[in-house]
Amino acid sequence: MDAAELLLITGLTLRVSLTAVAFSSALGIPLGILIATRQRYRRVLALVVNTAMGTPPVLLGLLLYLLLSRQGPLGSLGLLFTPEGMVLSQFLLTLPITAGLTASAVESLPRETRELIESLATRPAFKALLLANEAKPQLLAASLTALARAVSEVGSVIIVGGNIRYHTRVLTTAIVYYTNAGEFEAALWLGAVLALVYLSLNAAALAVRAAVRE
Amino acid sequence: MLALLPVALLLSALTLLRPAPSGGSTLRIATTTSLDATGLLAALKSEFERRHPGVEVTWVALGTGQALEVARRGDVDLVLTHDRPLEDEFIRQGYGVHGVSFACNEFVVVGPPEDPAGVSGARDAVVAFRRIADAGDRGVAVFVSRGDRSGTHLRELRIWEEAGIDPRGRPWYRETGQGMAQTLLVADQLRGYTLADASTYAKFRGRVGLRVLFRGDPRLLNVYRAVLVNPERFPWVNYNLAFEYVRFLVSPDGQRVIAEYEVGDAKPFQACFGRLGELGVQDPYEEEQVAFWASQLKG
Repeated sequence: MDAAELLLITGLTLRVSLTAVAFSSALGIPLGILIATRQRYRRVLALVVNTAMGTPPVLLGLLLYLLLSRQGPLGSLGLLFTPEGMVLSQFLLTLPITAGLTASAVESLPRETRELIESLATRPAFKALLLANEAKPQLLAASLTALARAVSEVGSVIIVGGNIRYHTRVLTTAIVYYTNAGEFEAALWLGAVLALVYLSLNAAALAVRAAVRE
Repeated sequence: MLALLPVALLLSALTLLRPAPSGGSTLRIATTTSLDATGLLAALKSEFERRHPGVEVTWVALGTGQALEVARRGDVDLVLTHDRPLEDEFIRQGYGVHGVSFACNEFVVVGPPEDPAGVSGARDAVVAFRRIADAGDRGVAVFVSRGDRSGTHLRELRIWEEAGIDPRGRPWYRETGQGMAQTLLVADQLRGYTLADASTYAKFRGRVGLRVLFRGDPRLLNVYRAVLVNPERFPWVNYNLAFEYVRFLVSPDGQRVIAEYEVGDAKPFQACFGRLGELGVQDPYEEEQVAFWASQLKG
């Protein structure tokens, strides 16, 4: 592995994870606000989201494999062993995280703020927007947490992506490959890069949270 | 239900974002970890792509059992695996066509240098395995198995069967369920025995304290075979490119790449297109396919 390949692997990792988290935030944040503000089924929905947060990635990977396989229901899309298939995997994996963290962020807003917004005579969508605005920093932190999870996950992307060199090999699956090949030095270097990416994401999330408290 | 809408949007976006389906120029192979981890496939890839500009060879490295399962669903164009009975079944059931052997080496029984089971003096592999089982029952030896339906694991199971021993569940029998590399490392840590393909062992020889204690039984011949996925069954597979690739594998050029490929100071693979008879494998199907591919080489 040379520097160019390391760059390619890191670039693909970020591309897949960022795309997936952009989608999962776009859907998960409204979903989370909906969960937090609903009266009916709120507990059931929260239970579903919290359970989904703990989905083992390998299980998700297996289900997606069967779904995306040429003979599976979505086989005609041709997404198996492609970066796009990996985006789908990371999207589904991080959706419960963005939704769940958004729900708890909105629930932990000051009661007066929530009641004030609830009492406004305006459309529900606008209320949701106002709530999101109040919880802006927490929502950003939620997305960053989801991103850190997407970047560091291996179980699902290795099944859905197939760990194909130059195509679907990301940092985590590259570590698996180089460990299998007995090239531990390369695996360690990849681990260092992964740790760096992961560290900066977590540091960003932490900085955002710290900014909230002030 | 509302939530399904964005999911559907995402799916369509992903499909649209995909680079145009590269049916003509990308070959997808399901293969075994040993061909990948030794770097042989990368060497073959660069030679093949040099001869066919614009073509891209990609592969997923799995155990033989899993690789054939992936091919059974039509998700790849070609399999390169090393378990004849499973491949025969795959071909017989109509999933694969024109299977032909292209490379071989051997499996070796490795273990701790002090060899508590006395494997190194064994007459054949079956006796070697019986000695390991006896020593295991006495509590002085451990056998570490792949346990993952890979070609190596299946071979190991057949030798146990021939020895009349069912090792599963015995306290000295440990299944890792992982690749050859991890299994060698586990065997090293446990000071145990394991069955390894010679190429992966060659790569790890310097890292583990395990030594080759038994080799040379014809039962331990390790043959890699290429099988094309049947295009009549799965019309979307890239049969033409897979065909070209196999034609390259069995050509004198491809066979030379295999025979001359080096890992460290060892050449872990022998070219064996058309040589299975010499190596003691009598298989009418193989002979028929060797004749077929030989005729394709002339064209």
